[in-house]
Amino acid sequence: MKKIRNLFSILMVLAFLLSALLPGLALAESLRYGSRGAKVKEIQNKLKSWGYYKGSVDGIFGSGTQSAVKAFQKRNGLTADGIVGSKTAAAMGIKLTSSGGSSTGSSSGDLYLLARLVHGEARGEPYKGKVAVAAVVLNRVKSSSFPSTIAGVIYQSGAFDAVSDGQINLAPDQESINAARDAMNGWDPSNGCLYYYNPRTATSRWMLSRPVLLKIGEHAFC
Amino acid sequence: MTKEKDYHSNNGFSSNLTKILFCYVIPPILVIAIVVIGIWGGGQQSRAEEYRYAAESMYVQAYTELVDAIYEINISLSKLTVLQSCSSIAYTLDDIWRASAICTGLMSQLPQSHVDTFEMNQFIIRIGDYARTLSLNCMKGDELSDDDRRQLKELLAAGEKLHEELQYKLSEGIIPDKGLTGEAFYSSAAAVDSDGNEINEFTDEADSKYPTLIYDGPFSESTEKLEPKGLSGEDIDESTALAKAYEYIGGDVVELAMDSKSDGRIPSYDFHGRMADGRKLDISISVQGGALVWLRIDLTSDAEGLPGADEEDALISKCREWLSAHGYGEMEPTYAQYYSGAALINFAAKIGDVIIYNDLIKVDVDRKTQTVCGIDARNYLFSHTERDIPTNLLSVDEVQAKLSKEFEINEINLALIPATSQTEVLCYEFKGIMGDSEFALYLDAQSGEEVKIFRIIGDENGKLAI
Repeated sequence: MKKIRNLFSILMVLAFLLSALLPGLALAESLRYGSRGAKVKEIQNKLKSWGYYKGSVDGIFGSGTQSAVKAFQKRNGLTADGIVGSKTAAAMGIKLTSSGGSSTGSSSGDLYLLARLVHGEARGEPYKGKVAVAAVVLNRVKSSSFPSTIAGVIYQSGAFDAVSDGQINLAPDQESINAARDAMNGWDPSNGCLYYYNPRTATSRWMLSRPVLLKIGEHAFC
Repeated sequence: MTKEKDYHSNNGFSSNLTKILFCYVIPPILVIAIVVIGIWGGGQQSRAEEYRYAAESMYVQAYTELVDAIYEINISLSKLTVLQSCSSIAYTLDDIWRASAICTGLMSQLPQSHVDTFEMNQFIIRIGDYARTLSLNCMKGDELSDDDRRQLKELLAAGEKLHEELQYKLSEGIIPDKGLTGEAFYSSAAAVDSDGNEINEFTDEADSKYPTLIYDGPFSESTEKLEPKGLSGEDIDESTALAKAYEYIGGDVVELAMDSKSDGRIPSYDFHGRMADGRKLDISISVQGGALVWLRIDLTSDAEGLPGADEEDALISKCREWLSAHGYGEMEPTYAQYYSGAALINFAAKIGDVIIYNDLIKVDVDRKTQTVCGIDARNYLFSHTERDIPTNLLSVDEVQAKLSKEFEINEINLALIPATSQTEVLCYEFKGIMGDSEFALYLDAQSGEEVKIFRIIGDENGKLAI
């Protein structure tokens, strides 16, 4: 019996070593799974920038792409069937029908960027808290202490965790888009605040020394 | 053979297998694994270094350009000490405005601690904002006042000091690398006391190494500290505010509870609650005077697209009803947007025939139930006050004669519009078409000068003035 246990543990070691090497192997052999072309490339590019897909952007819908699509669908509350249909495409911000890139004016580009920040920073927050996060960005744009554009404020080095950890690249859900739009149309539940933090995770003494003006969900605004 | 022997021989076989595994299979696999991991790690390391160098060179580039742009501002400031004629002063001020915008953009790219640099950011933005304000005055023919000349000299002195400091850091290779993470963004490199604790050195603004600028522009200190003019009356307590909230929402609300006190620009009480049909709502009531700051009730409608004229009229009249029922007096609908099942209609206050654009209330109407489900009165509360409307005006015809003959006019109004962040000017508003494009043009009703122009952009959601 002991020997059998030994054998078992050896197999475990082997399995562990293999699993350490497998990701590389699994990616090298991509199963050819139907679709090919520029759209597949676009999907792979998006999934890659959001961290779901680690393979090469080759325009071939293989198993790697399929499992990345499933992971994306699961994360975004869609049916995880690994097929990019209209809903999944919409969630990814990809147009299946038109061949050209989606043309967005500068203001709707700002709206989408703001929605992505809200999604990355405040996904679990109540709706009012999401609008408040977007409003803080817009209050910064109007403040002399910060950059003067929405992109400048959002991408200011170190200003938002969602930018530092890449969560800003997730496709925003409808609620985040609505929150960004409500903020751009003037609703400011933050009441003019320029900062917010999560009191449970914040460590900056400077931030913690500022008087908290209001609380919404998990965030303290100041 | 007995079963026992069978087992033993099997056991012997498996012990041989174990030996083979341990001596000949596992070690090479381990070696291969270590080599593979080593190569992979080396690759990762060199890739990380590549990224670091790429990032660093971008930072050095931004820093160098920043130092150059600040130098450019200083040169222009020094020229202003000599210049006397309005046109050359305006030209030089515009150079400063442009360079300031470049600096602001570059500063946002550097991974600096916000705590250490927001005052420098303020200084640079305000130089540009101030230069822009002066330049607009110059173009109207106003000469630089003695106060302005003194302020410009102070800016030059502070700018030269700043340039010297940054130039030194650049030559020593001290490029900011803090602030790449959120934590460092809000921690100060400089302000640490003898015990190693951070000092909040920004509580005392008098200590600032940058001069305080007095002017009226969108980023000036006086504008950023504006108080709401539209609030009057005594401060109210929470229960009075709750009663006010019930009043504003109307009969269908079944549940309302305090969210938190909101001590921001307009100190207020925030409540959340539920309507009889289960829809959620949020409402904010000002502490002073119990005015409605904003209200949001969930929508029932999912109507898309632009409404027809009948629907539009019906929606507007519902808004008007609500506004007059809640004591806002006569208001004029200006622009509307239609999205997510709601119509968002902007209403401006009116005094006689004059539209007061600053006194703006945004009203959301549910397109299915045609009930008001959102109010945003912040702008109104900040600007609404008693106003003296000038009377000695040019006639419409006199002013209209100044317009391009090709501008096809559809509508003319008198309107009080913001001239600067803190002043207003009475204008004739001409709405019309030039070619294929729609414009709203504002001419000073007393001087006839062009003051402002908006291009009206229509899209699938409604109309926007840009």
